[in-house]
Amino acid sequence: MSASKAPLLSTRGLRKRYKLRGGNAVRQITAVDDVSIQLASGETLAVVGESGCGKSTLAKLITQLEIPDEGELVFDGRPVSTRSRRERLAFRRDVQIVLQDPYGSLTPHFRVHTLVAEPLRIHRLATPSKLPTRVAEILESVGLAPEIAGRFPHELSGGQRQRVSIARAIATRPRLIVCDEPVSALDVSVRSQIVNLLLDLQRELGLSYLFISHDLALVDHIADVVCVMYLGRIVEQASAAAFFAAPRHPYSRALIASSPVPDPRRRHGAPAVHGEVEVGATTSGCRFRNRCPMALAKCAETDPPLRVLAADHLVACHRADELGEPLPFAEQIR
Amino acid sequence: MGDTLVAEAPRVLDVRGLSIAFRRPAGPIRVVRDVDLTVGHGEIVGLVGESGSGKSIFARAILGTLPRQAEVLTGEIGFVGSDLRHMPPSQVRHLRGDRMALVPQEPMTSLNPSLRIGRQLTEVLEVHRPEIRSAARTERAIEMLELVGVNFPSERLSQYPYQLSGGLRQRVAIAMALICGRVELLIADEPTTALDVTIQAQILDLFVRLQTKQKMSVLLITHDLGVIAQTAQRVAVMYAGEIVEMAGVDDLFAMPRHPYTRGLLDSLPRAGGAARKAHLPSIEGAVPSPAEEPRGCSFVNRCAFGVDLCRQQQPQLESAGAGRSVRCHRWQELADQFVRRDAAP
Ligand SMILES: Nc1ncnc2c1ncn2[C@@H]1O[C@H](COP(=O)(O)OP(=O)(O)OP(=O)(O)O)[C@@H](O)[C@H]1O
Ligand code: SF4
Ligand code: SF4
Ligand SMILES: [Mg+2]
Repeated sequence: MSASKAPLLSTRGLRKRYKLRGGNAVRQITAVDDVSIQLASGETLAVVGESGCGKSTLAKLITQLEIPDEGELVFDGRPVSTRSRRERLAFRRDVQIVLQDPYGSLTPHFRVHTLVAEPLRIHRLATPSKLPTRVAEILESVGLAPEIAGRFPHELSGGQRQRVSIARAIATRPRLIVCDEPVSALDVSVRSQIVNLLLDLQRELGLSYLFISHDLALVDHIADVVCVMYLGRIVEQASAAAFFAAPRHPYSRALIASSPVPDPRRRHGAPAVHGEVEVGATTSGCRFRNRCPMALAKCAETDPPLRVLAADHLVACHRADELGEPLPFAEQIR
Repeated sequence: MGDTLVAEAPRVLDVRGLSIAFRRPAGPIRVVRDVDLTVGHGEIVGLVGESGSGKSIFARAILGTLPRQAEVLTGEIGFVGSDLRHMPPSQVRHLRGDRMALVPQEPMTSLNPSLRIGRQLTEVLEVHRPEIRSAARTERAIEMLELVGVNFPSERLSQYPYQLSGGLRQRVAIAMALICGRVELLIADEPTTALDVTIQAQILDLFVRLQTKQKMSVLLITHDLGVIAQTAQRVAVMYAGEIVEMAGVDDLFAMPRHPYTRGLLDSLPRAGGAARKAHLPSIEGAVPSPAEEPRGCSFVNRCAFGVDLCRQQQPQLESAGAGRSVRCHRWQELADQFVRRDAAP
């Protein structure tokens, strides 16, 4: 979003459809629908929304684990689709992923040393003689003692396992790491350790993060740009400062109002939004309208386009200008 | 509800000195240690702690569903005046689903995947309320689904669990826990951990309504301090199998007394602004494994305030003012430092 820096990653009109089998009918759903984002080098773009809104599919499209049906992915100034084999390999080195469940993403019968050495070997980033030193260096940079190298994943705590996944991700000296709920499976007392590690690595290595999370207080803490997704679409996109000062989409406000604030003096009254994400519930107009407290007749007729509301602030809602000034998120959560 | 009222009301749950161990070849490992916990009539008590701190094992001891390898070593489990620990298992089994019930984290653990929703609900009634006639059972099933906020309740009766979303399944599990109509204690073990925040807010609101309208008592187990702050009246903080702090919810969040509670509250990200991307305060290290039962304070290897005494002698849970208790040698000295950092205007 920051115009000053050329984006490291940008997508234009990304679209991904899946076939969904329900009984004997086959339906098509658009898991990611016309998504255009820009992520500057050294910055963090957070993607928020309920499950089923397409966050993880977007992550897969960006890491090329899935191929989009439409749209374009541009990394470091060059479309990914037109790259040569060598360039594609370089892309795989430059873009890494860290998942929620560190247990599931680490091969159980490999020792930590092997797990961290693997990306170095694949991308030929260290000669066999240099490998042990390099692995030790990487482990140190994620705050793991050298003796951890000899252990198996099941011999580690949750926090240590997540450090190992982060070590694997940074081993190739990437420029972008896609983090899909990287701390939500961790113990509360360990969570902030990992958040601090991610912040340090970003500063030291100039990393960009695409950060998927449902924890809005955490997003407010670490993000530069926020994208809110609903049923495949981006419904609001803004700098984190602008977004949290005054979210403009009714869905964004519902998400914020649903966040469990750790302060008993600020209890929520009735739930901010009823119902749940339902694929295919609305076939025309705004896809949030069956849950939106502000829906009008025109919301059923025309699908609100993502439009510019202010510099650095895009919203897809017919009534975004009519929403009153909200309480800034910071005040709600403190 | 005033504090005095709660104190005089009969305890629905009154656990004293409960210790639970797993049998291991190398000797028993205590995973719940000397726990005291009460839940008053119509009260939501939060039990917060990290993974492995013993919350679920504690809940299972109350429900009489401990795994085979686990055993209660000491203590009493008082439930509305009777001691569950010395009650025949068949009687405890009958209480379960009748006067106390569990809402699990993953609703599929209490739902049968191959039975229609309606059948599962009416089956509970057949067992616990045989006097209700079959036609009335279906009616009651629909009423319950409505009460817990399931849309299209009569249509849902013929559906299977896999046809429902996670949020709806959790509502059905709650309906099933409550359907016999005599539940006095609902034990909810991480009931919203697998759900989106929007659905979580709806389910928590449901618990609060059950508590205020139907005077249900709820033991709400979670690792999420936000969930506690939003719903509980009193809170017990568990660490490595022990209760380290117990207090009314306002007191706990405004003036945490135990260094661990304080560390947890401090580590939560507070929204953005100038502090964006700054380091979060954190508790170094990790929870000790239950096998290495410490001699002194169980938190000493992570505590910023630990002194020799803490390593040598185990602190006891002691009273720390009206309605609160704390397990720390130094709580009194530290009390002045432990005010919420944003308490000042
Ligand atoms: N079936 C079992 N056999 C052996 N040990 C067990 C068993 N179930 C639990 N434990 C151990 O008992 C201790 C307490 O576990 P418990 O499940 O009560 O924790 P918890 O606080 O509920 O954690 P979580 O937040 O992860 O649900 C842990 O050390 C755990 O490893
Ligand atoms: S367009 Fe209408 S239905 Fe959609 S979010 Fe805005 S007000 Fe609600
Ligand atoms: S007893 Fe000592 S080590 Fe334990 S919490 Fe208190 S000050 Fe810290
Ligand atoms: Mg548990």
